[in-house]
Amino acid sequence: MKIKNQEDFWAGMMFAGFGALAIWLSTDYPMGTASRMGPGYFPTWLGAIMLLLGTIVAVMALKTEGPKVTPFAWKPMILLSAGFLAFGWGVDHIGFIPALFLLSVITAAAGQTFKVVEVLIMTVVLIAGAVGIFIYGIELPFPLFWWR
Amino acid sequence: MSMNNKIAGVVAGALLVAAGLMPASGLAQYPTKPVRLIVAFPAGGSTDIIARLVAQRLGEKLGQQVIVDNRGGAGGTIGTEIAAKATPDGHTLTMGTTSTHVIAPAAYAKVNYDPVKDFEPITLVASTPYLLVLHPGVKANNLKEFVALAKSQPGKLNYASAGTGSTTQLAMEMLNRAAGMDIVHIPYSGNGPAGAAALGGQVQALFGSMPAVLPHAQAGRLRPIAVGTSKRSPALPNVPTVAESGYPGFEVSLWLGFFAPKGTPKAVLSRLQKELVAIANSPDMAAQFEKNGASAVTNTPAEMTALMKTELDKYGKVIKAAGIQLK
Amino acid sequence: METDIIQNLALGFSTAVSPINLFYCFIGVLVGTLIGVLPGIGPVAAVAMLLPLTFNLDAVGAIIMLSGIYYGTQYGGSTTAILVNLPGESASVVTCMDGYAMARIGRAGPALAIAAIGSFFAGTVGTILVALVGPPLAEIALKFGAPEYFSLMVMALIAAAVLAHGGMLKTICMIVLGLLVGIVGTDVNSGMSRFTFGASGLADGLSFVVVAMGLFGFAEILSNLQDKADTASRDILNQKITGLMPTAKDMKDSFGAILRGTAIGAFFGTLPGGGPTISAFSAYAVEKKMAKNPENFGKGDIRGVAAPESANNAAVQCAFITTLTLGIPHGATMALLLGALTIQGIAPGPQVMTQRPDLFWGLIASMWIGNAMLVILNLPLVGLWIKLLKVPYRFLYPAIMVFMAIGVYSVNNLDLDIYMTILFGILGYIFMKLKCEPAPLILAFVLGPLMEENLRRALLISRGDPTVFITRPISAAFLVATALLLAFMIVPSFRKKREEAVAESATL
Repeated sequence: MKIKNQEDFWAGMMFAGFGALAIWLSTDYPMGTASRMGPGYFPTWLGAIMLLLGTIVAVMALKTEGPKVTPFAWKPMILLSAGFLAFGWGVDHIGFIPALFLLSVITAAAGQTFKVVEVLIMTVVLIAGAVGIFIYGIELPFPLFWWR
Repeated sequence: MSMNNKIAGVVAGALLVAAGLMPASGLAQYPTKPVRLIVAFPAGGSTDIIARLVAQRLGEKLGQQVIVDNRGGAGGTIGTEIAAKATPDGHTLTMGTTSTHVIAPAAYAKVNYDPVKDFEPITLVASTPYLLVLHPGVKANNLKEFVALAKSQPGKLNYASAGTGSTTQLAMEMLNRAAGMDIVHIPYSGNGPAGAAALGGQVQALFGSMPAVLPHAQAGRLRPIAVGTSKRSPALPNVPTVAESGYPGFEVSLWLGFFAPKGTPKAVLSRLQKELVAIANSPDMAAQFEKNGASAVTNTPAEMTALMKTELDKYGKVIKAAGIQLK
Repeated sequence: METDIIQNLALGFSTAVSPINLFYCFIGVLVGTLIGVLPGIGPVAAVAMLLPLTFNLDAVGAIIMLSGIYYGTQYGGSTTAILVNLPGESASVVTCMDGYAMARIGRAGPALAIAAIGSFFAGTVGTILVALVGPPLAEIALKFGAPEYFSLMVMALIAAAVLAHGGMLKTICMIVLGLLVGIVGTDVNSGMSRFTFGASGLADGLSFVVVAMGLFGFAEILSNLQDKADTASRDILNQKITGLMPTAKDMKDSFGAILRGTAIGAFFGTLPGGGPTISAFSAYAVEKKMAKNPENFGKGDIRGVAAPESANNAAVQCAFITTLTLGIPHGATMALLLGALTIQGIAPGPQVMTQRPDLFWGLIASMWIGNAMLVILNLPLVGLWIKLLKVPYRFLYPAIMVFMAIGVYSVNNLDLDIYMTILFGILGYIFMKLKCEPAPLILAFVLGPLMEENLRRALLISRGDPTVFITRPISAAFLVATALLLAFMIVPSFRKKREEAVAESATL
């Protein structure tokens, strides 16, 4: 079988998948009736609509010609996510400044050029700016380092 | 020395230095660093405003800044849990309310803290009364007439609340039970929308928080028929209490008070108690509270514990009877 | 009647226009703009953080300063939407679409300027409207019960389908997905947590900042890093910056858009709940439908900035009406302003106008002054903001990531929010790859909870009778309008299909 319109096909599959997921998750919530809806009613129907529409989009994509999906940029995706993960974990555990350091250095590594000196200078400037604006300027209650 | 040992050595060294830099906790120099006041509700709500008013003054008295740290979410249980688990050295406090220390533990299926066992109560600072108001189109001028009206058409009238499991729902459910009425609960998302629903006549009644409904009562847009406190409100001296309208013992209000994590040194607690009582009772602070529809109330840790136990029992019964279960 | 208004406005201006109040207003607008450009820190956070500053001012001064902060942050939010595709609040999601596109073709200056000019015009009209018909208009808002809201939301969502650049089916899927994302959190009716996977951090739902920063900011950076893989030092611009101010043609193009946007904003703004967001989306949809060249929208059409920005500001202005005269806050920011008023010893509500006319009219006057100040302050700043775009991208994107992370974290001080942003960032990147427009998802995400809540509330009040939606006239009117909208959308697409089929068979 040849998929003629990759973009729409995968979009349809994604929507159908989300629809199925919503229906499955909603089985934990009481449905109620149309006149006295339970918490499961609305999400189940939304899931069903999406499963149906997603399937239609995917099936139609088999027939009509369309663009291919361009390849994913894995390296930036992994590094940007890692930077955010480091910050989210770090700000509570090792403090604002070390967390920012990790975030800045890891995200900088997602680009094409990574010159150590340049990145370090940028990181210091960013940290100084962020501490100035957020800690001293608008007084966000983040601990600066792990000891406070 | 292997690489691992070297790393361990460096880490140990760093930790020692850090420990040395860390101020020794103890009363002698309390507070040694800014005090964190956890508010389990988003910035800008009524709890937050009162917390900020008190925090500013407390900071002046302690000689260290008191930083308000808003950790809102899940009916106040997220922030309160963080406070329960914080280091008990007096540098972390929380503003507890009827919601966080009574209703949430009683209504949620699972709450990761015990309001009595995990905290050292310090003192109440303020309380907010609740006011039962009707849409002016409802043919009842007092609580007795309203009860009669509701009983003549069971299941026909509606009341608004600020949400499932909110004090505004529990207050009305208590009245429903006390008077044998069947008024249907329509939950809204917050005091504002609930007030709008009563103003627009979408519902007939609302047991609303005083600051939210008082202006409308004063303007004649909503008809106040009873206050939920044990004494009449100075703002509405002609409106009787629910208790004196035929339901003795009825009392609903929202209190706000300070708590520290269990194990906070006694000396720190008594210092805080002294300062907070003085702050809450100062005339200008009382005036600020008044503007926010609250009144200054203070008490002792023992009284606070007793209050929580009574209320946990009282609201627990209503919550069970009304079938409220938050997950 | 007219002399009354003039007298009242004169009273207002005499209260507001003192050197010290103008100074407060200026400080408010300046601080607000500076905070507003920080991604993730929107009007709510800014007003909350700066509220204590006003405790020691007198009532008029405090409110003037706070409204200044509010306008400032709003405009600051639009600035980041245009410059780096980071919407500060739901209404500026629409601005992102054409504003950021304009920035990429070197026309950030005109985009920023037209946003300020449009906002000022809409603010002026909004102020006059508040003065003329504020109180009666507020009464209409009270007539809106659950059925009316539900029908209004349905209409707004269907209108959003017009926003689609791609296929209509995909857009509808994005709307449904947005509704599902909006469901995450505690159900208002039953108190049950849905789609939270046991995480208490999700009990209050996903915050807008998380979804928007992920789908727009994070995803955009990912896509830029991929596109620029070979030319590492290239900046965000695809072309040279051409002019800071709008050209005569820009002004002519935007004129109608600003007028229509203002009218739409004024209409929806008086309704509590989602007013500015619905206005911005609807204004954009109307412009796109009316344009002779709708294919330009999404590629940097100035009308796509002028209309939603004007609509948003007009709506915000009218939101003040209900806040002040009914004491019913429209949203979190309005609730904060109400809080500030009560701290000053003023109970907002119907009696504010009669008891404190100096304050009521002073506030209305200061609203206008705040808007004027915003233009005066921001037109010169345009040049400065543009300079930001000249920073090489390899420095710019880590800075955006840092500010985004702090902004997201500051909303609830919750690390889970950071992790959810990653998730939505990757999802947004996938959407880009699959050509799915994220803006309708955001609208549905914002309106979804309100829609379900009101649907269930309407049926609860009617005791399960679904005819309430058609027997209540306002609700019925919205549903008829929705049906017409649907017909307008479906008929042309059928016609196009048929033409294509005819053309195909002719070539065969």
